[in-house]
Amino acid sequence: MISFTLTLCFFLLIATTTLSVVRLLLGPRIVDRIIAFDLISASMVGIIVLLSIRWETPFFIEIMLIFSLLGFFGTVAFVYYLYSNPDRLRRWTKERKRDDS
Amino acid sequence: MIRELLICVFLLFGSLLMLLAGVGLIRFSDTLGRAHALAKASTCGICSLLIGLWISLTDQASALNILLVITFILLTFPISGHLVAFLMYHHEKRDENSKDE
Repeated sequence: MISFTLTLCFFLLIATTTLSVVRLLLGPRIVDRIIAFDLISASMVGIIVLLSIRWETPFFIEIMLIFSLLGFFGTVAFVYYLYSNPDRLRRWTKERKRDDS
Repeated sequence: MIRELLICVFLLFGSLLMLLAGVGLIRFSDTLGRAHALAKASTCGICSLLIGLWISLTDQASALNILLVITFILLTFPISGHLVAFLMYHHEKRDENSKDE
């Protein structure tokens, strides 16, 4: 029962990663790409949890901590950079808006 | 038997919530809506997956590590969602101010 559930959860998390990669590629604004990268790192943590249940080892818990830490610091670094450079954020957003309309 | 059932329920609930975050990331039309969908659903999903791992691993020392990871994720994921919404809100407010002038 557990192995079937693990396979199903693997497929669900891979679908989540695929959806967020699609949003990462076509997101109209730079902020959408930051959000999509956040979800990719979260689903990577989820996949590591499933691997740790399948192999029954507690050694991957530190790797989960490091992965979520890196995703959080990536988001904070991007937001800080874009907040201190408002011209760059405005330029990237406006170019994309012109493409959409 | 009950332990296996609990593990399966927590894993399925967590990965379905992660898939819900991915669907929300694709389907919503607004950046603030996407940030809103992702911050709630991915926090709850990752915590549910980690509780499943906690039930699955039997030794006591790894439970503390998992508790550390859960606390860290509960602290950082809402903060990153809030930062992205903060950036988007200030960007739109700044644009409106420049239009008024």
